Amino acid sequence: MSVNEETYHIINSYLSGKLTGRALDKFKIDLRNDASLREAVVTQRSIIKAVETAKEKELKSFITSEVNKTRAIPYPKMRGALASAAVIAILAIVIFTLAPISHKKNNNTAQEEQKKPLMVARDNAPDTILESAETIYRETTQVDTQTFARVESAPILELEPEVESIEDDHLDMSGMDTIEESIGLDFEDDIADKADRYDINKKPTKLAGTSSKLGKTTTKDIDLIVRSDELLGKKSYPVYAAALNPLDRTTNVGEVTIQSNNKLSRKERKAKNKKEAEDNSSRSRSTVTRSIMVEYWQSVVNYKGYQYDGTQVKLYGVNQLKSLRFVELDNRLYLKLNSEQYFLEKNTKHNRLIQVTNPTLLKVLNE
Amino acid sequence: MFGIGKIADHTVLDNMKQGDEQMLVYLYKQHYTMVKNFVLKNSGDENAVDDILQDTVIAVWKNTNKPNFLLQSKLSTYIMAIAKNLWFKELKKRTKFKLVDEDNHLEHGKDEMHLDMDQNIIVSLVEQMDDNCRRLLSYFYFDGFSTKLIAEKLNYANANTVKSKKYQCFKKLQATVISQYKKEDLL
Repeated sequence: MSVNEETYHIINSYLSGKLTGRALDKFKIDLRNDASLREAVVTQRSIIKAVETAKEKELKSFITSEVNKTRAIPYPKMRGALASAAVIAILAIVIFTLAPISHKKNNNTAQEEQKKPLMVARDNAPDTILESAETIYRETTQVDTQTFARVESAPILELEPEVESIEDDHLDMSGMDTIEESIGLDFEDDIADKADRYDINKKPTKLAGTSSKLGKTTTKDIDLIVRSDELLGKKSYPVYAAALNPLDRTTNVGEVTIQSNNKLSRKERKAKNKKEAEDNSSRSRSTVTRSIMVEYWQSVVNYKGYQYDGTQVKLYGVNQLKSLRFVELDNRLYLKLNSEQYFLEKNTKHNRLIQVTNPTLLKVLNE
Repeated sequence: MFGIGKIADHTVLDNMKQGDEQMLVYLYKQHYTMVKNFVLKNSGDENAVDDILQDTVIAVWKNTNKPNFLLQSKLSTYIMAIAKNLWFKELKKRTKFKLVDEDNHLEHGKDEMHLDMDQNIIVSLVEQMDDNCRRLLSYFYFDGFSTKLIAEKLNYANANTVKSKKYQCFKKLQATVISQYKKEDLL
């Protein structure tokens, strides 16, 4: 049954299908005739199959061991590590995402608080002048324009030293009646108005951390009241008509008159026209074209100006007691206040009062 | 080694041709979920998944080293095709077993047992061989490596040395097998 090397290689080729042609035919004839060769082929086939099975078994055990190794040890560890990493990453994202939002929110809140006026009231002393640190700051840096007032928000923290310095001055100048006097500010509105502006009776909120040396006021006494623009009152005023040339208003009448009196003498006509012109002039000055509603407003930022939408005028920072006179000239509205003429522009914005300086116009308006 | 990332198909095949057995593990892991889903959906269980996948990657291994092997699809597609064929074959075998009557089954089982026993004994004899001979024979018969590659792997001088060494190892194994069994056992 033992075969030589050549036969072994031929059997190998036969079993692997590599034996072809005449060699294959010859081998098949030998196989048919030689029993020992058949036995050798069977043995070799069995051995080859066993070698393959052994190798397959080895590979399977290798795969199983490798897979089990990774399943048993690294996988759970890796999974745990990955899970931990994922949790950390999510937390980091959440923190870094939410932190700026909350910070922004806090900033916004702080800014809103800064924008709103903080009123300070002294408990148990409603009859005294009430001031807030912010009010003092604002009035020291007061500007008439609403726009600038909005931009120029007074940060609380920056105010504190100033308030203290003012208060120190106030303490030193005990002879002064008010803070305004002590710091030498020139307020147009009278002090009595300030008491009206501030709502003393409302229960105030405390401003923590703000120190005040105003009189007996302590940190606990400093209160905040958020205020908005306040309507003080309404009044209806007549609007008088005016013309640069009073004769213009009566031109048509004059033309008719001239046409009807063509036959009158020149002297008579001149005298008659003069008389009519004087009559018209006096009539036009007293002619009321319409009435206009005037609202008196108190701005929280002490803004002085007006808002005129064509039908009503909102006046900011103007005392109700002062007399007003409205004159309309060439569809333009003029306001006479404190013997000064102001032009009121028709728009929805807040405007400053613009004084009329044109002497000719002033002459017409004051007639 | 293969925890992260994916190795290109041609790299896997090249490595397999060079006898890198780690590629089997890689393919096993890469395709485990796919094969598992398929087998579980087709009346299989977890144990069957392991068996089928092991047979599949070993079949890929053997085919890769055939001289006329040419991969014409994605490796995963090829592997899934093999796995499906193996599983359907297994299912067919299982069904066939159920249809066989008891007598035939017992008789057939007896034959199978006899052949398996013989084969298992030879396998155990192969496993008892010295490492070099065993590796040489498995490289040649199982892996299908060329004699040149075997010479490189086993540090032999050349292909002819491999051929003669192979004959010697085979003769040794054959003598062992014949000494343990009568020739009727092998027929």
